[in-house]
Amino acid sequence: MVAFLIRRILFLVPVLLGGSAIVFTLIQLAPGDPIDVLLGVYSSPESRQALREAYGLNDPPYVQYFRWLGHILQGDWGISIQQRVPVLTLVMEKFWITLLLTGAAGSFAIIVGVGAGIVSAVKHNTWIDRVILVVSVFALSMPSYWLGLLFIFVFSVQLGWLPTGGIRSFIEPKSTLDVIEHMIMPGIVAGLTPAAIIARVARAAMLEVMRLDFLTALRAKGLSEGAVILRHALRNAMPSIVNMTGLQIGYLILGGALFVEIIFSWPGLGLEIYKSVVGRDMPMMLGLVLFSTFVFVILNLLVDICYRIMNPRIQSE
Amino acid sequence: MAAPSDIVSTSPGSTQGESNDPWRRLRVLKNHKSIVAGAIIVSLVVLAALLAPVLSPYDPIEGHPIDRLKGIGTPGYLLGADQQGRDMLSRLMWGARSSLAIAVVPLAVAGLIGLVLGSVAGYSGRIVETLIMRGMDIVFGLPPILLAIAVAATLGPGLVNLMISLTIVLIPPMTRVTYQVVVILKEQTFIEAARASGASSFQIIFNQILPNSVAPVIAYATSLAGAILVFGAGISFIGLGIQPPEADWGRMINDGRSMLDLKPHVSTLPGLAIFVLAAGFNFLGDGLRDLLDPRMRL
Repeated sequence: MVAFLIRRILFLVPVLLGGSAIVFTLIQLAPGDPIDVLLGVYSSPESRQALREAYGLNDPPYVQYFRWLGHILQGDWGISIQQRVPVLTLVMEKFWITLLLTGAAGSFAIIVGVGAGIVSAVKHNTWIDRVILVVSVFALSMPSYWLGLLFIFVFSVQLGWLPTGGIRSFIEPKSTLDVIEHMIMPGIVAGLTPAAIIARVARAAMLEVMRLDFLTALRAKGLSEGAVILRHALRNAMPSIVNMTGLQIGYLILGGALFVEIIFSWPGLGLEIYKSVVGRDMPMMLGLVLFSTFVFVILNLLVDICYRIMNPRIQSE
Repeated sequence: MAAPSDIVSTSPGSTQGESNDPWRRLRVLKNHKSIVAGAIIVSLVVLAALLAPVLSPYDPIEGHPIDRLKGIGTPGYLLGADQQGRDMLSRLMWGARSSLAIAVVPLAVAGLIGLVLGSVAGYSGRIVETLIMRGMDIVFGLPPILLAIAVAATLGPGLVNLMISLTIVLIPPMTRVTYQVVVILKEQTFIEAARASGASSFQIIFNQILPNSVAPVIAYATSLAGAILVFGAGISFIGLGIQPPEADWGRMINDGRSMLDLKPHVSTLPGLAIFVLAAGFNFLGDGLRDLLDPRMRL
């Protein structure tokens, strides 16, 4: 376990270095110039030059990369060109907002996904099982940016039940209930695809376990079916479910939530990434991608560790 | 995205007592309704895309301002018209072309690259394996959606650039799944036999390993097609993909966003099209996986 941990943690270094180098190279290759965005295309060469010098944009790419990396390690993530705010401050602030949405979406995905997976496995090969399977394919195929629009059309525009977007309303800000109201639609929309994937994995894992003899022994002992399924079968199916759930939440924070944030104007990392891409805000974009990579890698590490702890058979190998 | 290991099959291909009679082979499909459903949906969309120049009632780009925002079922406009008076049906048919391209081309290219890289890494082992697979791990360690958006943003908008960005993101999973198949294949006796008969590593990789890893890799690729379509159209939706006035489903959803409350058909129809085609791919992918690896049957 210790050797595994050390190996896994050491592997963080090349992943983070490689990842940041890839993104940095990409941005260097990109056509367009942040100065255009700041000063306009028709600005004077002198003012452009001065600004390029001030932002260090005239140095060779590798100098810019290592200088940037050095700053990162010291906690200085640069200043957003568009918003003139320290990148790290902005990234951290947005991260919590995205985490809030991920929490809502993740809870929805886990409850619905694991629940549907268990029901589907217990009712294996019945119409209930088939309906759940077909619905899961539909949920997998659902573009979140489209479902989001449909939700807004039905629940906000037509029925007027829920706010169309944002994180809180102007009338009664700072109320928790208000934030929760704003979270319902984006949470469900973002959680739908992960729910479908978790349901399929949970079903497969449960079916695998339910084939085993020890459950028959437990039933023979007189244990109720509910206890057999929930206390014993589910527990043994847990490693695969936790593994997939962790990965799905990783994808959710670092991508899946992006379209949902744009549709619902949820002011998190996704919306910020979109804005920095459109505005060619290089420090912001690099910061966001590096931060996301970092979170993604750590999350994968945690998932791996959980999987090992829950599945002692791997340890002995 | 499903874990690549889900669809790794240990059976080296066509040794499951199949008959050569094509009708009997087709009858096997009776037990795989999901393949049939998926194949029908995907073929219909392919047909619509291919026949768009012949069947589409109007030019997809030409607007008729007098007919703008006509509703579904208006005479002459079966599925209505958009804010520029362009026929929705024609735009949906033409848009099927770019959507199919987004889903299929990156998977095919990444699949080919992944097949070669994965086979070489899996078969050779040692340094080559470490270099290829750890390199892939680095790219795999990056959040895929973000990486594709970063690449698309860098290369600039357009269909080709969108396909390049999706291909880059898909190479690591395709390589990894091939690698997992090959590592299992490598230990099979027929490979050992080939080696004993004096075949070189190159010959073994290209004559034995590659042909036997194609089927599981295709099944895996098909299972990803729906997700890639949804995601690729999403990149178009946020404005980084195909540019107006070209007809594209993702873009069309965005175009209709502002009039969602008054004319919902403009943005809901292309979304429905993405959803249906993605469901077709997903049914097909599920079915192919069942066919190739009955252990994983859902």
